[in-house]
Amino acid sequence: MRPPRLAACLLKIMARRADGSYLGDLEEIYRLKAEYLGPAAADRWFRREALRSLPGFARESIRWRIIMLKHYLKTALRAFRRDKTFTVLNMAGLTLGLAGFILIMLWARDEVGWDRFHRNAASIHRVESNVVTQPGPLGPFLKGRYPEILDAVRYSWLPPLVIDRGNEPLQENGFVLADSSFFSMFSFTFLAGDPAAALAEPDSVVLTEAAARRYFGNEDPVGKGLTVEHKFDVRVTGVVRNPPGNSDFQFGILGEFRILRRFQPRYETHWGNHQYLTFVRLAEGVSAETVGAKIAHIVSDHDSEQTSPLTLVPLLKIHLDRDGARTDVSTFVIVALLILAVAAVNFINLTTARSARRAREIAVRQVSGARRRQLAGQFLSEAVLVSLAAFVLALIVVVLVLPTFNAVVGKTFRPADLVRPAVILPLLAAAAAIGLISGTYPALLLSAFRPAGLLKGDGPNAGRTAGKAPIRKILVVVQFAISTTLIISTLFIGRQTSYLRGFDTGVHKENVLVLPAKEPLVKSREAFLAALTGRPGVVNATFASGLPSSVANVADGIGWEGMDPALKPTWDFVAADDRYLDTLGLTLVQGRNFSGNAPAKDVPAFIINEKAAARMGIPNPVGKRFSLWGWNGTVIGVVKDFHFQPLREDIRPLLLFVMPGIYQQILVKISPAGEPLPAVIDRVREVWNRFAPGTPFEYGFLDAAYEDLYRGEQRMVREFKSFSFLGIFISCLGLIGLAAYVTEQKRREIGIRKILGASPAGILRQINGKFLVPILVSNLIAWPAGFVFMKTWLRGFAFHLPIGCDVFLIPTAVSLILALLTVSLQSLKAVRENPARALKYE
Amino acid sequence: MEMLSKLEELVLISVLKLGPEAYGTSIYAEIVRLTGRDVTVSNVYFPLERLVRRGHLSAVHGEPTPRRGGMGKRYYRITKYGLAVLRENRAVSLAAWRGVAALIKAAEA
Repeated sequence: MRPPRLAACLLKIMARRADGSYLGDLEEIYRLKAEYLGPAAADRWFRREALRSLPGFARESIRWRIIMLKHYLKTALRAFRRDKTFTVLNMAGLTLGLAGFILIMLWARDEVGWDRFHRNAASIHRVESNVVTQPGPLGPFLKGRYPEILDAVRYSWLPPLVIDRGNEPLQENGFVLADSSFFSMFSFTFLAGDPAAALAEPDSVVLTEAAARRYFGNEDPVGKGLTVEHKFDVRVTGVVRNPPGNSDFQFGILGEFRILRRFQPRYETHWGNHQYLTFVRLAEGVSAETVGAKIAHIVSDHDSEQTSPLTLVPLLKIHLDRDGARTDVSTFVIVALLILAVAAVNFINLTTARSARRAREIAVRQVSGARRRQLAGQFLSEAVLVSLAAFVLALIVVVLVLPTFNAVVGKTFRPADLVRPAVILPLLAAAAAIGLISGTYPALLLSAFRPAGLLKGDGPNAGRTAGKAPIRKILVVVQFAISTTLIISTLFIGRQTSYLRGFDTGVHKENVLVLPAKEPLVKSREAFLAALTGRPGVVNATFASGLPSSVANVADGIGWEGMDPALKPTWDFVAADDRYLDTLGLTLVQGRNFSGNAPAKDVPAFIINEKAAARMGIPNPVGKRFSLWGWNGTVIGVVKDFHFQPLREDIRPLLLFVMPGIYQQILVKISPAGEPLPAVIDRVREVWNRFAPGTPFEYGFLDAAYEDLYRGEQRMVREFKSFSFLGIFISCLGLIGLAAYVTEQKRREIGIRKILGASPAGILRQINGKFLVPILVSNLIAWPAGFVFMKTWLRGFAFHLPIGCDVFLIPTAVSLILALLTVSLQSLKAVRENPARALKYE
Repeated sequence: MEMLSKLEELVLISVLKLGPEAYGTSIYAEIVRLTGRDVTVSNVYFPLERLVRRGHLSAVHGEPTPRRGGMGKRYYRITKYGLAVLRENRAVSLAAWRGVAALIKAAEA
């Protein structure tokens, strides 16, 4: 008579831990019941019993697990205390690796989540053609005309403006304008005022918290007014929370778009002026391509001079599609993972190396009845424990390092950002995962030790064929390969960046002040310039539409004598004056400068650069007819090519002409030879105040603007430097541990050798030799890896240094020296030891 | 001293009564007999183990028999500590129940 099989199996599985008497009891009772009540009733009873005992077993099982965990915890702590150096090394490596990983992931999340906080983000697109900005009339044109386009909003920056509240005037650099439905398309939290009505009235503005505090202190600004440029008033209708760091919409004051009529009266009707960002919100399920195809020709329909079609770019893609931003993000995430890998490898190596010390404990446990799975579980939980502890430490490190990190990457992370569940939970999971992954190999290794050999004192690897553990060497190779690649990359990126910064752009950028071209100054340009250049220390000054470091104006509607009509050239341009070339030290290779400053509208004279001339295909373009936007004139001069874009780009054709309407900057060349700089600046300020009273004097330096171009690369250099350092540091930590282990193993051998007359140097050489090969191999791997990496990165630059040999040789030398030093330091102790002490330990 | 739960008390008493024959099944049978209810085996077994853990009982393994599908029996014996606890609990019960029969009769009337 057998009890029902399913239930019996179930019980057997659950009762595995308990001894068999329970099952025996049940079976006995079952038989009794079967005798007295019949098999059916007995079966029913048995099954019910099985089910009923489930909770009991569960509770027991949990109880035991907790007890074992407490025990493992105690054991782990004891093990750590016994071997403090190893534990510290292990934890340090993991902590640093995790800290680096956390920082990078924080940064990457910020970048990838750019502008993601808007509720409608997925359906918002920006309208672009060959340029990002679009004509004023486009926005309203799109709105209401297409069922797929739910809304269209324009966004534009105003130049720095003077804002007045009756007390001292302040300069506002963040005054932007947007159409009235801006806040329904984009999500900003309102602290005061009604989002729906905020931009309803013309001349209404919304302030950010920061701006509100700046202009109104603690008062409620809603309903109050501000005076702009001493000319007109606006009314505050709302206050929003400061925009988050990862958004392209950074502003202090956001005004209703019609305010623009005071600055650019023709914006509503002029299709030729591309100055405004235009965003559209698409209906559900509509694809950007279909709508893009529908609207592609709108601008060219209204202005035949402009031919490039319109396309829609998703809002969420804008930030990452910038110049190399996507590669940046992927690069750093990969680096973060690599560092983590180095740390994990470290952990594995150190733990397995230390395994010898646990040998006796393992043997005793095995003899006491521990099964392999239990042992593995013990070591695995130790690994997870270390890893979680390292995680906590890493968080502390991150909080401490956060200010420096913010400065380096140009963001504003706060410790509070870390603690958000969305951030911390995945990181915690990652830390635990690292613990599990790195702990698996050591756990398996340690649990497989054979007790007999251990207790006899043969050494932990007696009876195991894998005693040599080639895997350890492989791991060292991996570690050093990664670190060396990082060093190679750092070296090269550093070189390339200084190359870029020191590059001769053809522009004399030293000692040039940059001032904003305010309206009163543009109006009285001649007098202003005359007064300026009259002062000692001022060499020359010029008005221009942009900085020569990064020209941002592009024109189509270009034509010249004999041009191939199929060609539709789009050239960069700068609106300049007759002093531009002289102020910036540019040379004419053909023709002459502007004579006088008549706007090109009236006197269409054009200067082009050599590239443009080459594009025209005419060897002597001076005097040839040239037209822009319907102005027919001639080329009067050709200027020597100079770099007006970041060195990522090749030199493009450039057009210079006079157009006072779009002057943005005044460039003042000063010569501080003989005159102290502050004195000269004061004189400039004096002239400024004379011509533009009431406008605060602000200035910058041109060479600083050039520096700014490569801020991204400089940041990269700094970050790579830190990561290489981190990587090498962690690798060396690992090497210390390994060297110590090898030394420990070889104590007796070293002792014997010493007695037999070997010199300390010879012994050192032997030990070092063991590590030499892995290091060399790792370099062999690092070289091609570094090369490929550099080549890929360089693709983003039109101008770059050739990849030289020393970029590879230096890191190799460095890693070799470091490795040898580390290993030698460790073994020195054993080498100098009295051999008798080493041999005594039997 | 600790207060035993009703079930624990019954189990200890059964072990005492059964003497050398006190093992899982017999204790179970005794409890069924005493309470007259269809008690679950696990409701007896787990408290039994708990009492062993807490030192009220000691357990000894017996020889396997074919009747039990090849499993040996686990015999339980009460310990000095268990006896002391039992005595205490009995005292408390007696004190509590003194004169209660009359009260119940009066309440039912």
